[in-house]
Amino acid sequence: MTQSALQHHIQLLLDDEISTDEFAVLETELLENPGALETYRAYARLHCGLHRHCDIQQMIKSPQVVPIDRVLSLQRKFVIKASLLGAAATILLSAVIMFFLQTTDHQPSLARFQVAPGSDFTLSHSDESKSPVGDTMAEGSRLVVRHGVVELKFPHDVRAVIEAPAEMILRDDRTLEVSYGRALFQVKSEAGRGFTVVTPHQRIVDLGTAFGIDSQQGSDKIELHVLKGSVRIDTNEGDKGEIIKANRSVLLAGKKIQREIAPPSLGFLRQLPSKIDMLLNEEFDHGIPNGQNYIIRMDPTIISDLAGNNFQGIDDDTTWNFNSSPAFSTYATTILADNFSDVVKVDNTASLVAWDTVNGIDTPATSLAFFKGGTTTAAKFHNVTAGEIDVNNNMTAGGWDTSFLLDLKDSTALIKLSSIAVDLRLTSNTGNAQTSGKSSRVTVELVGNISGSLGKIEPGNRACPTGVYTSTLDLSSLPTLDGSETYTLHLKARGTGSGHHKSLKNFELKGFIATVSASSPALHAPIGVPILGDPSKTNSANDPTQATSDREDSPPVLIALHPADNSNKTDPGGQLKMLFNEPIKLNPGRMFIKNVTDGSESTLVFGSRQLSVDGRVMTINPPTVLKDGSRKLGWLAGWESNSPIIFLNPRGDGKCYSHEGLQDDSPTRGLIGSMRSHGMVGIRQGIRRGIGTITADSCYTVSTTIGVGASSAKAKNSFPGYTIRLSSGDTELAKLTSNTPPGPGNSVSTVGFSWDSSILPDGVHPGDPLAIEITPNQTSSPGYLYLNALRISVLDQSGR
Amino acid sequence: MGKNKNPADLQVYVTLLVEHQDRLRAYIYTLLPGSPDIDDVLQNTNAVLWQKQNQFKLGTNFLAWAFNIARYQVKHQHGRNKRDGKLVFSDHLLERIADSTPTEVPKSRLLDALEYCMTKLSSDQRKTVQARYTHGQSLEQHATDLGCSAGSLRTSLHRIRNSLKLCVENTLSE
Repeated sequence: MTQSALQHHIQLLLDDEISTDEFAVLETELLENPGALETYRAYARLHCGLHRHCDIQQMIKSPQVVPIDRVLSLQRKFVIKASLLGAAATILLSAVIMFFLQTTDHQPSLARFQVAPGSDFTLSHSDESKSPVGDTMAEGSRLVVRHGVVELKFPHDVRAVIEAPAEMILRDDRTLEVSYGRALFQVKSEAGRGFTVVTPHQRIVDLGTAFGIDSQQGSDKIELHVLKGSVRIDTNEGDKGEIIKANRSVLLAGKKIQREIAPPSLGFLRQLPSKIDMLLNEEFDHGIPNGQNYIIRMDPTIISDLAGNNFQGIDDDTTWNFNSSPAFSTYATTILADNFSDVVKVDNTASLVAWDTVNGIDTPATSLAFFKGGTTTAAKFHNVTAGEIDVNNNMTAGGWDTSFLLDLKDSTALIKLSSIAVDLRLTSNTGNAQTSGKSSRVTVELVGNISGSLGKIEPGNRACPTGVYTSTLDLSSLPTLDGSETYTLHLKARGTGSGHHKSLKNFELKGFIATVSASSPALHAPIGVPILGDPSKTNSANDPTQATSDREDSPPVLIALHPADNSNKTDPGGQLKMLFNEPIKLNPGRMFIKNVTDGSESTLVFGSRQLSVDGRVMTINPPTVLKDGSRKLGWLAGWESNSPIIFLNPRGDGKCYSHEGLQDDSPTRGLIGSMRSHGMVGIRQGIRRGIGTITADSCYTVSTTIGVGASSAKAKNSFPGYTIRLSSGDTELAKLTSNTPPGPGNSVSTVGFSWDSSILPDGVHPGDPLAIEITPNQTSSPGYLYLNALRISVLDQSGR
Repeated sequence: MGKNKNPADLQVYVTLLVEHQDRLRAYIYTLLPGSPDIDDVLQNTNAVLWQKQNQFKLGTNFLAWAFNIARYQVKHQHGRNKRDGKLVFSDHLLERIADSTPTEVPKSRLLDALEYCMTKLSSDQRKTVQARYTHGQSLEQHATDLGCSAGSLRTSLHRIRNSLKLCVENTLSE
């Protein structure tokens, strides 16, 4: 490489503008040429010096007072970093203040703390400019423990071991305010008597003892377990209450004892565990956005068979090139609608001249036949009135059924149904309105001619209003319609109360439409099904998927790609897969995922947790690279979901959030509150994934970071609520649910809960599968549930 | 943590820490080129240096001690960058660069030399450098202001850096 080319490549590298090919060339040169390494070092020093020079120039030009939000931002940054470093956290805070703020005035330390390695926590102080020195807390210090365990040592030989999730503020050397958490307190000296734990609902005053508390986030009840000595339960106003003595466990509601409870099945931790096992560390930034053209390439070394023979890699743009499913329309459009103004009714059939609106589906039938509810007996019309279909079968007799054919066979669309709105009216035999004592409902069932029933929407009866009313059903839980079969949407009117008819006046079926450019045989070839042949029609000797190498030095042969080359559809799961003819393994090397549509490219290297191998299948979780402020519909990698989610990189421009801290450029870095990464996902339906199997006698902690958008600051009902659930099969093990935003509008906050696996529900055993589910509570609300990070950790019994 | 340093030793340690910040930063820059996480790695390194102050023997090579600690922090970040699919040096090259970075060197005068060399640039050249290196500015915006392409400014910036490198080397060798 010439000196000039070397200098050019180095500068591209320092400016983060180097291509992967240029990078590979430069890396080789630096490894092989000591002179090149020295040149590189000189440019890197210059680059660093120029940064410093310009920083200093900027400070000279703008010596303004540092705004308080900048200070808070800086403080937050330190604090979050600190949690990763364990006990070094507070030292860093004090060190930075000592060095750069020239402050010698510190708050006196009131408690020392230690954390278990791997704990995830945040410490902040009431006055950062006077933060206490060392791994200590001062008056007003706030400690939030999301995962792991913290040990606090107070004066007078008082000690606490606190398990996540927990949040506390140190009020003075004898008072700890605990918002929530599970903790063991030991007061070993006479001087420590009077140590007080203040919860949101009571004060627990030590009278010389050891006691444990268990207070879950959002609960107004608290478990108190007195192990030694005694404690007194006072009100938060200071009114003295009952004394609880040793070997007693109670559930407290305020200062009152609601009931006696069993001793804790999982004992309190008495010392810090050696480490915290993190089961899942999800930042929701991997998957496949819709409507993107991808090209996949990879080094020849990254995949080999178990004998070490390398797959040849992919070094061109045509071997694996696919389009992800086209983007669904952002807003639900009308799929099928009519007001029956031009309907002709004969016997049990209402014939339409034409549908008012038909969108996305193949030409539907232009007639509706009506039957007595739940039978195939035809039901005639009661009155023949323009703009109304009044079926002659009252609700007491079972109501009526009709159905709409939704045929997409030759259509170029995928349809995700969102809702159906039906205008109805109850009539008497004479056609007059009647409501007294009547209640009714409309139900919907989607049936595929191949799959059979694909889902039912069955709301309960409700009292019928006078006159015409609208019944709207949320259909978003139904699967996406495509050209693979013919669908029928059954509409059924049911109710109670005698002598009335339900007239159908108007209806509108809405959904999200995505256009497919062309159909391909490979579209429906899931991984495991070879594109080279049908295994059911191939004897095993000739089965290409089971072929073993004739020679030990034969490289592995690629059997199938998913999504297939040149395909136009990605399936829920948001992953890429490669199937080989023999078991494979990963080796040092790189995989390149280029998104031609937006010009981004990601490189996954050997060792990345986004690459995994299971026998003959390699699974790739592609990073979702989004520019600041952009959003895309798509599928999350590794999660089960019935509907696409929204990937977004929020920007504080008011469209979703109004917060200047969300700009990705320095110095804000695009993060606010509890955010762990720039990316978020918005969900309107539940998402679910397996996280291994249940370990007996362990404590699982789940934390989720939830964003509350700008709209929630204006309209409270735009926050859909959330339920985070640990489950095994259909059995719910533990959950946290709330309809209250965890923070104000334009904020990102973390919520969490813990689950003790020492007592399992009937039918659930250690070793059974464990899954996590996150669901918005109100799927029909206008808002999305925004998630930024999810962490699940587990602690075993040791130390209890 | 062991016994705390006495106030005099602590003052020396703090002085060393502050004095070598630029060298430490440059070292991290060299190992993580183009990474936006340089400040974080430096902060983490400072935190560990502070925590381990009692393990440092005054009179020994502070820079070697600090580089060694920074190296672990860099490795940690390097691993994260690798897992995130970013373009990073191979482990082998990272080790090679870290091993070959000199620590027995006189106090760096690079910033002073750079200050001097910047005065040799034309006003337009200085503005190009400032557009690239000042927070909140960009070459693209500067190109728009000047009515030229960002590509031509990048070429100019490469030439300016080449000139500055020569100037700094000459100044330091005088």
